[in-house]
Amino acid sequence: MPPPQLWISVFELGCFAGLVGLGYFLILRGAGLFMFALGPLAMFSAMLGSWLLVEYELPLVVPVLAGIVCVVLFAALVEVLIVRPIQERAGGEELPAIVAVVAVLFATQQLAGTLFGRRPLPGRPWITAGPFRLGDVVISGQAVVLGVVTIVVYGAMMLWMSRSHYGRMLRAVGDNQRAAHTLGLPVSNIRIVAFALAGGVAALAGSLFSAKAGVAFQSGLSWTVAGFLALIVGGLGRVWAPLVGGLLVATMQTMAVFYFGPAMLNYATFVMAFLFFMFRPKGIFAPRVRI
Amino acid sequence: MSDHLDTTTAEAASRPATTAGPGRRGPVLEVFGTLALGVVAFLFVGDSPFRQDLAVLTATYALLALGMYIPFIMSGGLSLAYNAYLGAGAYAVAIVGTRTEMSTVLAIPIGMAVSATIAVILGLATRRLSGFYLAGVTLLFGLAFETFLSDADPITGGAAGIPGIPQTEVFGVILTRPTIVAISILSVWVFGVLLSRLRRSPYGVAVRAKRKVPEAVEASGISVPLLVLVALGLGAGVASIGGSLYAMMNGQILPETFTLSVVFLAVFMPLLGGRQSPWGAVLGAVLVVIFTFGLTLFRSTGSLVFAVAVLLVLRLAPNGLLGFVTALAGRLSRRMSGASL
Repeated sequence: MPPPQLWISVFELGCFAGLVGLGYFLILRGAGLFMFALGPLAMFSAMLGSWLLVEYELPLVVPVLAGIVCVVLFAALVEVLIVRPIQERAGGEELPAIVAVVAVLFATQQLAGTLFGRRPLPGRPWITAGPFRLGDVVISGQAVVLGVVTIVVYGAMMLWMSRSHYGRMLRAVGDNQRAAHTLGLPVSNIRIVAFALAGGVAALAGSLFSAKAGVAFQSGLSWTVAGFLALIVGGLGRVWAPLVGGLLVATMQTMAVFYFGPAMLNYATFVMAFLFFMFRPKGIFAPRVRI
Repeated sequence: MSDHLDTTTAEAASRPATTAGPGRRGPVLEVFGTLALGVVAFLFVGDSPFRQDLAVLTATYALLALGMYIPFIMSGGLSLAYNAYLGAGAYAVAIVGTRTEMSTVLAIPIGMAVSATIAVILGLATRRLSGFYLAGVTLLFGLAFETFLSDADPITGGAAGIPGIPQTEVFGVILTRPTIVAISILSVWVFGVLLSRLRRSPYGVAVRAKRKVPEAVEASGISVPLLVLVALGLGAGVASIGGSLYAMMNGQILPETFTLSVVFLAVFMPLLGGRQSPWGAVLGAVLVVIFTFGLTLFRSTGSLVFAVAVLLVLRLAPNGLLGFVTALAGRLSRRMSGASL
């Protein structure tokens, strides 16, 4: 029987993977591609924040906001300058866009490594309150913040996707970009909004999660994998599917490490992705097409 | 500086191949022109131990990129598990060299067989995936392989790697460092020429057609899954040779050499150099080594400069440097013939 404290780790990791997965979800629905660079973008926000804290000792709000604003702009620029032109030129072929996304991933990693150094930087908790005791379990203040932010972000996104004008248009573009274009929807603007929002969510997640174990320029790749897996397991059928996926993946990863040692993490992750692709390629909550 | 000269001549030499004209002179010029460049590269390396290491590293990168050429550039499926194939070749040499009495030369075919087997099994398992999903799953496989190298101590030596690989001996003759440099350059040349021919063979035409119209290829009675599996197996074998040569040259291997970073570099090589010919991948490998090791100016920021260069090329010159030069040369020659008329 795993100790109850372990479930706090599962919760933190699950919320984080769920947030990055939500970023993937937004770009997949709004622009039809897997933005593998979201992990490094989250890392960039966390690194920038920590670096500002260490170098200039600013009040916490400034570095966190700076990280988020930078990444939102960065993500929108990636869409305008790189992804969209390359996708348009490719004429329906997928490979050039994949390569472009991988190139952005690599470039973001190297940029962070060059700007903020190649050594890991410490994170900073958002609140000083805590830790709270609940029976045998110790909950850090940061875990509470992470949980609250995750719920708020997911709630806001669900409302936005179902109620707002732009959110509904985003879903229309994801269903059929050409049809949306024919109907006169502002497809390019919607895509930029999708990228910017996803960048913002990923940046927030990175900044929050880095308080747990710090951040290094290579962290981005494992964060990319965490979000990717959350979306694969969760599916695209519901807005909150990536959160369920993230929590499941976090449970599996944490238990694998607990029972079989740290080396098991990457093996178990690969096997889990693999099993889902073989038997449930659309995830747990598969999108259903209503006619 | 002479590296830059080399690359410009490389572009000139392989130009007939990229335009793929019907003339008979093209292939001959390509074969002998690239061989001449290989000889020039060998003479340039000379006795400098630093240049010898860089030459073998370049050849390793080039073989890795050439291995990815068929499945990635020709067939259009991005598998990121190539660190496993490179690693299999290198660890085969290390394990055969340190734990058996056999010559490490025999490890090369062993590494190729192991790599090809992994590639075919992974290919079978992912045969229904394409695009982003294929890239994602093979990325996870690459990460799992990284863990395997640094964790499975009894087999791979763990984080310390495998030191003390004995010098390679063939029929009682020890292969010296210059000999390994020569073999490396020769291997790149041989596989460059072979792939260039393969690209224009019936198999190559079918693979390239599969990239855009798989249904048409399937309808012509060619099995697309088989086509892809053969491409993956061949590519893994070629990449494995690169790993083997690297291990022979260095005499020791560490797990951090075979991380996904090296795969990312290899993905960008053919894009930077040019996709129309395997020589573009080789040119890309040369550029990577110049950027990351050769120029002191870029030593700390080499990877960043390289990543930005890749993004610029992707955006502005989608056919890579070879394609850019070919187009420029075509325009120039047209203008000159226009002037003479």
